[in-house]
Amino acid sequence: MDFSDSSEIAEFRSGLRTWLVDHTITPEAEESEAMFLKRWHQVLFRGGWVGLSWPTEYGGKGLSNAYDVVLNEEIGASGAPDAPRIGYMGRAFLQWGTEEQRERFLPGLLSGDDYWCQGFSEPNAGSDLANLSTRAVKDGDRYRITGQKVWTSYAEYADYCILLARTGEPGGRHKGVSAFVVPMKSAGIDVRPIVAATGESEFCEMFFEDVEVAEENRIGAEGDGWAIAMMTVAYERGAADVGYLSKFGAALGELRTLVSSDGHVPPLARQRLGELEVRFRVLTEHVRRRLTEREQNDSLPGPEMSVDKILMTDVDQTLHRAALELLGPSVLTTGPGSRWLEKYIYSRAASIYGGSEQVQLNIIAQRLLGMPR
Amino acid sequence: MTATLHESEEDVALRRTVADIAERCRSTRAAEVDDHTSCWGALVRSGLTELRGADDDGAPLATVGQVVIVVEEMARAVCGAPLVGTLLATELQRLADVDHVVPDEALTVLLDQELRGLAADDALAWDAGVPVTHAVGLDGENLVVRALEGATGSQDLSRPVAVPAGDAELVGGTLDADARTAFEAFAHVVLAADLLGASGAVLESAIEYAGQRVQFGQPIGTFQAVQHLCARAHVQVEAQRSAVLFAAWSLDSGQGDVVPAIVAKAYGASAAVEVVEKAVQVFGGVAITWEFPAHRHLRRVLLDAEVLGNGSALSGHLFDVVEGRSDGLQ
Repeated sequence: MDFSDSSEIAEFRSGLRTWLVDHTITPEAEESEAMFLKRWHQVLFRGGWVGLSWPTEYGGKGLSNAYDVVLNEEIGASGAPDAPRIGYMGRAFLQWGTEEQRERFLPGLLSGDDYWCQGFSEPNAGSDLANLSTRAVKDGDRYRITGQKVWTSYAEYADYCILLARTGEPGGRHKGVSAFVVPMKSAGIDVRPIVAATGESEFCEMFFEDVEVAEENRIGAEGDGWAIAMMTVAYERGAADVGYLSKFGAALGELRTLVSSDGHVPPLARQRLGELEVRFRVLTEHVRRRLTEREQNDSLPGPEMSVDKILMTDVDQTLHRAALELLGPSVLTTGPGSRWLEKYIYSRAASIYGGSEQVQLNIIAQRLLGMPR
Repeated sequence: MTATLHESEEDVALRRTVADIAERCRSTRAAEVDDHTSCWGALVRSGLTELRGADDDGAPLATVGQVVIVVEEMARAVCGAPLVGTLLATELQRLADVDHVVPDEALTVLLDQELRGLAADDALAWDAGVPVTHAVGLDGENLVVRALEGATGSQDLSRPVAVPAGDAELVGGTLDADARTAFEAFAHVVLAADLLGASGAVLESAIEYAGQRVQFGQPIGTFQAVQHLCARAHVQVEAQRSAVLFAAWSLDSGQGDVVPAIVAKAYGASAAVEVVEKAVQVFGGVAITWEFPAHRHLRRVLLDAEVLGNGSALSGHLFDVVEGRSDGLQ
């Protein structure tokens, strides 16, 4: 049994801890959340802290993925902004992409110079993603793409989109789905931000009207899209792969400070915070185990990541619900911009996006536990 | 069934040896007779009761990681051989730098009446099934041993408790604060492994049962309501496993970090009970019968959860540790 810890990792950890003290940034006035996170991503990259487990030839550090957990832990403990959510985006290029695509797209993704979004969900293809109907029609050395996507995070700021579209027969379910890199400045794309219940607009609708995409922008062969999507969402379900460990760690630390600010922690709050600490640490330990397994088996993430998604969502929602109770009604009686209320509302999306909780439970029951269909 | 961390060949062999003993326990046990003397004999012959005995340098013979394997496998059968009590008593003696304080007898530990910690007076011996005759406890920093009256049974049918008969005798060993913390960390991990085994095994059989039990003309395992119940419970088992493995690794790595041990026990104390409750629900009415083993798992995890601090107590304790207030506020 080995959780791949070592003196090198300890050294990395202390170096990062020191670096964070001097380099953490705060949002400028009027700066959007997306642009702030992009700027933070770039600062982290220049410091050498992004793409730790990515190959060196594309701008990564070629380290074991245990370093991703350390990055998450230290960012969370320092209260710095979230670790970049790129761990899942672009993994498809390593598995299915051409060498030319990797060299063209990965460095900008890792450095944070290019912003990427993910065009998977559609109005009639949410939990039932295989129902997607956006079409990509071959036309010489290019494709013409027409259709509608929804819930696309930060599409209005994105430079590129990884898009799923149907190249096969309509209604072909998992078959005939292909994946493309679509430059967001292409003609025929209309992006409309959705104002979320939090008051922020992260999610967008995207409309594609006869959008031309070069054949060389297809990832893998025609029909590889479903496998690419499944691998991508499996990564997206890992709390270190999406940087969420850092987010929870920072939130928990801040909550602890707020509750104990007057030096007195009521017994009930003490126990509640302790329980949240237990849940958060179990999630962290579970992620370390997963990443170690991935390393030991030299394997890609699969259906077991649905277990991780459930654990991650539980921590997210339990933590942010508890925060409302611990902080009291002032969170609700202040005017617009109540950050803890926004965080709470956003946490309710956690069991909906990236495959709903019910889809995750289906995957666990049928694919991990082998229960009958 | 599920990916897990690689185990060394030695550990795989160890797990197989223990699984065989547990399987014999399961298959030979008559419904109402809790006679585990043959299980105990098999554990002794394989050297498994002495895993935390000291080598010539005072170091334990086996790692916490190995102990966890043994405890988990035996807990899967809810075996009543007093393995866990013995392991804790051995660890306690090793940490106090004494050895076999009552030669040739099986020992367990003395806890206060609330089971919250080691004690000497007004104490009871936990996991005191045959052939345990004595128990070690703590009087201040001093290790004591007491002879036991016959076991009196407990709601965990496989693990009777016993009351001390004789006076507490000093045995020459002492446990300072650090050693006491180390003992508690070891005990938390062992109990977390026991919770993992007892809950994980009953869930697996409930899932198997759901694939066979037919209602409305089809196996109940095809119903999403049943699938989601099982899937939720599986998540709790996997999280317990992660916490146990990490805690064992933390103790073995010698960095002295006891937090993962507290986390593993605090989480397991609530998660394991919920997992067994869900398994009971899947089994339906049969799980509420005396002859069906589900209630044995339930009784086991309920009592495990209380030993050396339940989930609530340990969560509060963890908050103090994280906040650096562990000396004082309780």
